[in-house]
Amino acid sequence: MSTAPPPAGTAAIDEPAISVRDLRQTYGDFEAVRGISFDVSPGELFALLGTNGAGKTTTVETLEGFRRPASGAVRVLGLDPYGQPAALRDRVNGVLQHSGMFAELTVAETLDLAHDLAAAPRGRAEVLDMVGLADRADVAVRSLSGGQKRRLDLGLAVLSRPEVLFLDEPTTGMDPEARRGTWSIIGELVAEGVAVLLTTHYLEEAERLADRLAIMHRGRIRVAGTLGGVLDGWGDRIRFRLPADVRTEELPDLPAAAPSVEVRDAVPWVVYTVNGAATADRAHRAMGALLSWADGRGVRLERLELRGASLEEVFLGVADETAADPVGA
Amino acid sequence: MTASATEPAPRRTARRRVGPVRQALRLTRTEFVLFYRYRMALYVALLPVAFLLPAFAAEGAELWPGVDAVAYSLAGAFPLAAMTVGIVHVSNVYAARREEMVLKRFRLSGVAPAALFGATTLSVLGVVAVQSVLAAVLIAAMFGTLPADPVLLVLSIVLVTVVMAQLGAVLSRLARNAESAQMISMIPFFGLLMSSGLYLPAEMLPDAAAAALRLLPMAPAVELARGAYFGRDVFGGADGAAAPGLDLWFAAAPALLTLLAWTAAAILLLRLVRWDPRQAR
Repeated sequence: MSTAPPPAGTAAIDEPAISVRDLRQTYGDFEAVRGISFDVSPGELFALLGTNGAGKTTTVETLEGFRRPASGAVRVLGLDPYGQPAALRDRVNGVLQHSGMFAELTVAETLDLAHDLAAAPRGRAEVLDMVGLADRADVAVRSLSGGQKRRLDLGLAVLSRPEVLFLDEPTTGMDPEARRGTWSIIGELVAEGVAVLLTTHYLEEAERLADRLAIMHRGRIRVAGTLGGVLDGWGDRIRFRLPADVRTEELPDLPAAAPSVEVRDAVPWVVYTVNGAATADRAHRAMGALLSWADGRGVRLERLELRGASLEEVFLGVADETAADPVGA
Repeated sequence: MTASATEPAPRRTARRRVGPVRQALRLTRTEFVLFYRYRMALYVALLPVAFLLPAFAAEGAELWPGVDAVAYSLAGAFPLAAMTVGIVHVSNVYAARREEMVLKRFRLSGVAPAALFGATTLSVLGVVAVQSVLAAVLIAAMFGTLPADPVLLVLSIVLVTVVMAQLGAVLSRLARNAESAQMISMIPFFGLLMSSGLYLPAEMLPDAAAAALRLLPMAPAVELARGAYFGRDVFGGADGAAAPGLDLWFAAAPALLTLLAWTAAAILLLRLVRWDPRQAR
């Protein structure tokens, strides 16, 4: 959280910059977004993750004012964003999934145009410097590489000094160095008090930038919270090969963990998901109990491993779910 | 679509809101740069010339004293230029820009719809103005005839241009992409061309059909251009009597009102325009 004062707009102090309440969106019979809720405060970056078709872009487009909610409510700076009302226009900006620039204009002409259309713009030189395109100013947009276009997109989005920024996969096509540069720009904007809604397929990006995140799947938010909270909630995993002389019913229940068996490479493996509330030492207690059971039975646990959750693991777990509705969605 | 009447709330940064008019003028500047760099548009601008070539076949005939038949046909070029650029070029450009997310990005970055439509209209007006000056110079050089009522002529050209530019933008709603916009725009293009009276003079049609065509935008626009250029009452099937000063405006009133109604309708239809390619499906 930043110490910058919240923008004194139409939103009251402490009111979220972005608020989504039980949002639903449908395309004909297809329900693309099925009742999601979240808030983003000023000076906070909220990452919306999910597989293709999970409903992320539909959600972002609703917040950008391009769609009216089928039901539920969305607010941006306390206002209904539908149709981009005049009171919101110069306070919101974003990077779209595709660039949307005039290919025949040069980089400098593109920035100058955006500058002259905006209410409180940054100068061309400042933006070029921020996104590292100073040496490309006189190049036609059509001649930029994909990553350079993406940097110009970000430059255009920050040029208007928005209070709310929507970033839809902003680093797609960037090389690792440009990506890091972009992350540091985004980090500075958040520190200045900008509310950022980020969608990305790069989980590392979410890990690095997000104050809070949500993983969507099939129109619902399946997992949400801080990165630490999400990982703790997913649980630690203990895995080992099922010993040949142990039947599955004989496997012990461990503290806050029950066994399951999965087959990998035609070999049965035992997996314990350790989910206790005492996140600091739950793995220690479960592993201790498991090893004393093994010593007591005199079996060796081959390929034994203990791992905390990674965001990738959580993401894949969510994406892997069958149509069955999970708890807490 | 105009600037909000409410006081802007205090901000972190001092903001001077750029109104839709200034945004439109700034975008118009860019439109001209793009029009020049995107040469394809120049061909569209030249298309009306090709459609008027048959007019030269009638050389030598005089419709009324001092009104050459070729000059009379050429005066129809004013609305024809506006219609071609509006219907063919604008629909194509809007469909292409929607697919490339140019429109969506402008909207997201705070550009008012009125500014985008305004810039389109102003840039089309600029092109039509150049074409109109060329047509007038041609008529003046070949036949020694100058516009009898330049004010009425300019007003009618502006009105038909506004109608056609907005209808072109609305047409983009029906097209998935720039290519299909080009195909789809040919239907209203030929429809409006045939309804204009340039090829099928209204006098040759049954009265009811002629009256119906005069409710469409092109026939009144062509009558206005010809009437204003030669100072004659050619409206609604009149015999082309010389109509000096206000007489001409009285005679032109129904045609002007029809164009004004089309202007209002075209502006209302703008709400059908889609900014987001995913909504155009």
